Amino acid sequence: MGIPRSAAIEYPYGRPVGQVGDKEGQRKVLLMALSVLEKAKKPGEVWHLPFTWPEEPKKTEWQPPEMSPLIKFYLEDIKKARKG
Amino acid sequence: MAYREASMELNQKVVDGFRFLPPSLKTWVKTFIPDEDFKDPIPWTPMSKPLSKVTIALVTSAGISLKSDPPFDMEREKREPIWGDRSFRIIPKGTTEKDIDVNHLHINTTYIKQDINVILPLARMAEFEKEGIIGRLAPSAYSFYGFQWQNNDFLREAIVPISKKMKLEGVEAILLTPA
Repeated sequence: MGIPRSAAIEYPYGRPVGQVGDKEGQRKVLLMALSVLEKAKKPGEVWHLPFTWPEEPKKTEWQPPEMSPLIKFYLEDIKKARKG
Repeated sequence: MAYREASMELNQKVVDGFRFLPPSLKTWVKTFIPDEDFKDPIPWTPMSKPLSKVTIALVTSAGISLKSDPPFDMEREKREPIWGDRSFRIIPKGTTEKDIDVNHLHINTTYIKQDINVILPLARMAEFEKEGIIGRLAPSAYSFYGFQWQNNDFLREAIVPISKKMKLEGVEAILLTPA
């Protein structure tokens, strides 16, 4: 898929704009993401946003309560790939 | 992947697109999706006016539906693991977390149910509209279910009607928040 303009952010899967209830943090992320509309000059540009999520990845609880059907379906392949 | 591109401004942070992805999904992506840059032409419409004059619509693939609408179909996906519901829902401006269901088997949906703005920032964008930072927030936002493969049916059934409604509502730019 080709995306005209991207604002990349290192935030957990499912919460790209920020933390629950953090209005100011969400505003900052959005203002910078929207600014990419004006700054990007050619198709496919990726702008990396400078924000840092306050928790370590292991503590962010991004997982769905149950393993997704896709991961279940490919579990053996995933295990093999990890060992390899 | 595109995330490899160098940071362009502000600082030298280069986003690691895998850091906050579930490890099993990371392995799946690295195993089954070729790590190559996109080579086909990318659609491009230059911005013809400043952000403060632009009408913006929000779109997310987070599986959000109004409580008054049917939810996205999770049961079929459980039976057919590489099938994803290809319908879409309109989420009107002013919708809050109280008005929605979230159905998505690949993320923890708890946070969106607590604060819709973590992925569909309707309240923040309404503030920007009021403050004149953006021209206008479109009357409709859109949610679909982000588990679509290269799928012409999805383009026909969801993207075509969404774009028609966007045209009617004068949308000039879109912010897509993926899940």
